[in-house]
Amino acid sequence: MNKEKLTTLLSNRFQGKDIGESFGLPALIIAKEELMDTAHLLKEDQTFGFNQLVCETVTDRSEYFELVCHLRAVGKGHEMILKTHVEREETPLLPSLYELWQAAELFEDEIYDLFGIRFDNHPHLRRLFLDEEFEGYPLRKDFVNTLDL
Amino acid sequence: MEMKKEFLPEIPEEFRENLGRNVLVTTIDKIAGWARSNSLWPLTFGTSCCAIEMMSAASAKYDWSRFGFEVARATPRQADLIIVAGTITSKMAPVLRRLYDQIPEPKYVIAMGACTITGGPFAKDSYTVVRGVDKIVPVDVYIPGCPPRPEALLQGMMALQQKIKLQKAYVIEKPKDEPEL
Repeated sequence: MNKEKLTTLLSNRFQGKDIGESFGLPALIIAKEELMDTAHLLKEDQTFGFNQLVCETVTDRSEYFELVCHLRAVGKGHEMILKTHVEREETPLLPSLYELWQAAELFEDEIYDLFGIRFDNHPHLRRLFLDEEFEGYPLRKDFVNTLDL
Repeated sequence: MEMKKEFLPEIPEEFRENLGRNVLVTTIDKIAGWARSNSLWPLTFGTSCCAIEMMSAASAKYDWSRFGFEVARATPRQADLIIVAGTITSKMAPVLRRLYDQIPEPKYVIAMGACTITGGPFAKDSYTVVRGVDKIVPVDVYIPGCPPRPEALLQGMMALQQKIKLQKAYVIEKPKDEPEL
């Protein structure tokens, strides 16, 4: 499926939702309460069939955090970006995508490590790169490095 | 000085001629330094891009075997030398210290590259990188560069050989700035 056809299909299916374009891929922005339903639909609907989670990461937009998921349909040959916003607080909570795509396990570990966003229903949420004793989340914009290693 | 005849060993007539060219007199310090410096076995330990230069220095083009760095050992128990080639993060630091502690004496450390000397490009603002490997293990030779050329590594290793040759056989000399742990 080419990009234009996918964008049309997405805007028909998700009417009233914000569908933009980012890095040449259709980007669907949804509320975080709808994240799981949308993800289930995108994976299980045969026209979309997004069976691979290529990348899951977070951008710090100062006022809020933006979760960015790159989805790919292997075999069908199309890709899209799924985005959701979460308010900025000490430890925001999002649903885990692990039950749909197991690749999410390490992506979400990394997000928890560097941005401090917790994931509901994640099998084993832990710090991936830093020590367990590390204080703070270093990729947040307001992180101040006080370490003298 | 005159010596009494009875203190000189009895040397049979047929050996006397060979004595002059077959007996070597040296000191323990000198021969131990000679032996140690010419057979330094490095530990296979590389954490980033400096390790690529280190591998280049070990392979055919630069061939550090010419100077006695014969075999890189995969276990610290058989190694004499640890070349810290690459950035050391705070998570890697206890591993490096453990590897250093597992090397039997006499043991030597070479800090290769900017990251191991000061933290290099990460020195100003980083939440993980250790600013200088000499905070973890005592360092004998520092080699600047980012990364140093294999020639620079070889020169540093030969400087270590010179250092070993001047050391005493039964005294373990550590660099003065041994980190307090």
